[in-house]
Amino acid sequence: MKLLDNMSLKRKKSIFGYLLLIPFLIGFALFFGLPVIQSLIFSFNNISSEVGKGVVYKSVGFNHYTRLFTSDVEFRERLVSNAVDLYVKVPMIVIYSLFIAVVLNKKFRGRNFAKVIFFLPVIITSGVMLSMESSDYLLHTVQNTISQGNELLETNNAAFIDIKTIFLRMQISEKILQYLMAIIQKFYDIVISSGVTITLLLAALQSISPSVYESAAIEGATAWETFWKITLPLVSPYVFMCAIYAIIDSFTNSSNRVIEYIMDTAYGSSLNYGYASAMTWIYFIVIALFLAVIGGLFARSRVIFYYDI
Amino acid sequence: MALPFVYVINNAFKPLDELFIYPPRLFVQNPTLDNFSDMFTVMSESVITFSRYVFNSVFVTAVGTTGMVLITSLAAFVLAKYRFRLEKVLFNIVILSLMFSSQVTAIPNYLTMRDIGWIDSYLAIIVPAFAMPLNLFLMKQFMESMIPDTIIESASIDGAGILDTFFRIAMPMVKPAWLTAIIFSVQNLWNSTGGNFIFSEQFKPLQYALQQILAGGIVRTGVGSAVSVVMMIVPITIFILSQSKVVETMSASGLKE
Repeated sequence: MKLLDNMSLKRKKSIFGYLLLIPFLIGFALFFGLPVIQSLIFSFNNISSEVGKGVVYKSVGFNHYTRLFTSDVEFRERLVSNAVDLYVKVPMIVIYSLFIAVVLNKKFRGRNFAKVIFFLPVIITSGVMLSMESSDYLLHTVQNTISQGNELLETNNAAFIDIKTIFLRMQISEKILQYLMAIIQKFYDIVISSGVTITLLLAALQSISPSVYESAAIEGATAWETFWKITLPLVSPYVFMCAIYAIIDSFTNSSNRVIEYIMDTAYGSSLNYGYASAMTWIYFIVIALFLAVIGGLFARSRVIFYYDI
Repeated sequence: MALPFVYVINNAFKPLDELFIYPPRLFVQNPTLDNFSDMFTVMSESVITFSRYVFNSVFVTAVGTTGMVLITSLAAFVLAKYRFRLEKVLFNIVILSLMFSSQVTAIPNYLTMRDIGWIDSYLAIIVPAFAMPLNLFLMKQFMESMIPDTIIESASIDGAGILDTFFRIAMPMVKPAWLTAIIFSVQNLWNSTGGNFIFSEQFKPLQYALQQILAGGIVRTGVGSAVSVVMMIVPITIFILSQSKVVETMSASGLKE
């Protein structure tokens, strides 16, 4: 107690702060930090298990990494196609979920039902529903038809080409057009991955105090102005958060092509756990750099609003 | 998006002859509850009673979520509102961890669990759920922008300690945030099958038992749908409950500057 008495209040507080953090940090280090470090060790070794010896490590130095950068064409191809995919999907996920969240935040009859509808993808894409979906005959047929339809759209659907030429005649640049087409084709994906972001944004919108809107209405602001000058700035930190989440989610989703490749290497026919760990590490660094750049851009542009800063 | 959902719900109420009709019908004509009672019949022959599976799932989800809300939001609160050394570094490490694909850490994770001796116990599922990086990120972001520093300052002038400030001021202000965090956590834990860590039948969660029913193949289509409905009801109920609980938060009246 004597020790505590001699400390300044500030110091006591900071020690207490650490104390509160500790439970989280321990759990985190144990169930996350340790495995990650172990996977780093794995990435410099060939892992195999032998009868009577358990898991055997055989050091290969940087071999896995050099192989990754020099001879493995597939990894790089998948990585790049992933990044391109992201550039189409993420902005759309954010915009779409912001739009839906704003609509759902309005008071109308049946809005809880509507919220559930938009949250459904989160439930459907996990657990039992997933195994149902892949084993059910009718759902299979429906999905096949949809994907066939998409292929048709891509290749030879007359209407699709017509729209494209019409837009081209309207002097809209080819690049924007390609972007729009990509969005249309990926719309199912976008809707499916928006469940979480919509929920996050809803929570954000619900925590804006109604009195702000009230005073804006008294000052004579239209709904349009209110959205751009009040709603958007106030939820901007969460929009940023959603963007980060959407990026991470699409990078680490198990349907992601890179992840598929990693899983295949680790648990597939080759059972090369060491090489898969090396891939994960490179992949992880790529994602981190990607996010650092985006985070930096956001921070510099000062579009995010905070109460005190 | 809603179609598979509607289809499964309808399937759950279809009698046998309607299930295998070709072409399949979306809507049920003579609804029956047979599939639900069959669900219990199928399970009654197993060594472990159905209620045990239900208990396992409910227990894991409830304890895991409660612990998560407490531990993760405390950590988020300290990270968001107090300045100290390593604060930024710690937070960045957590964010980085979100980007590491979990598939590859499966084996090291198992080794860790084996070393602490938590294999085959509830702890292996519950405790890791306490520290949920996504929710830390979420809570921190909300606390950072929803709680003005002035309100914390005035609380500490009035003599409130960190814990007091946390429970009486911070948590009520970010209610939408932790209600959302609860949704994610429940969704996560409820769907866990116990996979790599749990081997004894009596500790297996409901999700696992239901997968076993589904593994029965095409004859179990009806029961399988009933099972899915049961599984989906819980996350959806939690979602609806938490959404309707969100009313006007304290920030509306908390501060005048």
